[in-house]
Amino acid sequence: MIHRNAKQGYQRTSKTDGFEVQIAKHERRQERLRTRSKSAQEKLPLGSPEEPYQISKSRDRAFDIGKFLHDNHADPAVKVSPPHPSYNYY
Amino acid sequence: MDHFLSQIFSDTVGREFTDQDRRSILIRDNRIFRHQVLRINYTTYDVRRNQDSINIRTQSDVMVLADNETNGHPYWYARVIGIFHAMVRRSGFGNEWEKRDFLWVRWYGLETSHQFGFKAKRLPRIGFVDTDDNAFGFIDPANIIRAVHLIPAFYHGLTSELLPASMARRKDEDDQDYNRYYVNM
Repeated sequence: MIHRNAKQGYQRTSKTDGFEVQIAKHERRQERLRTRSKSAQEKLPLGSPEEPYQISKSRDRAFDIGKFLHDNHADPAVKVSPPHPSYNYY
Repeated sequence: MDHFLSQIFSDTVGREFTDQDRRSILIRDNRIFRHQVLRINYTTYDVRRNQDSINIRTQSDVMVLADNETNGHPYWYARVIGIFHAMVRRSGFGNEWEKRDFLWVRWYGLETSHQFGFKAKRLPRIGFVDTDDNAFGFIDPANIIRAVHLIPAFYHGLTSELLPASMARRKDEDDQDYNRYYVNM
């Protein structure tokens, strides 16, 4: 793959002297974008199959309950009921 | 807020919660931690272990065991709209903070007048319940049986009447829901 990527990269250069540097810069940019999009996703290492489920222990995305409820008081989704939906439709 | 607190301590199920119970639940720093993914381990029909990955932005429909088989159907269906954990403790029960996971869900209701099953050769049909009708709740992730694959019932069309614009919906849903979904089985 590497030998092909380099050749495709040539298409994007000015095709004059110094195109090697241009290809290299392009590759670095691509790589940076790749790692950045990866870190935006939540990482969840493999968990034990013995557990019924697995949720991250990450504390990165914390919020304050009071502020959250205040900011979203108009959203009907915030009004939560006990788990007894009247499970009838019609 | 009450419901949220009572849900966290599901070990006391079976009796009504008092205000005193609710006050006894402490959440460290009043903070909740949000997550994007959840993995469910389950047993398949041929008794092997398998894993479903739940992501609130892509695959988020799950099934849980119903409390009772009122309609002859043993499952409830829900869409996970939030995956959270908080450090929780109950005053009078030691000083240890405990990690508690919980999911915020939007419930589906079963259409009971629709015949389904192997005999009827139809899939069960469900739809989001009306907002006034206990549409949202919290569940313990350990109660999830597995993820479900829902197929929008295109024939029955889209609606925005069940719920106004809300964070319960995904960004790409244009504030609309399908009236009905078929549960693939």
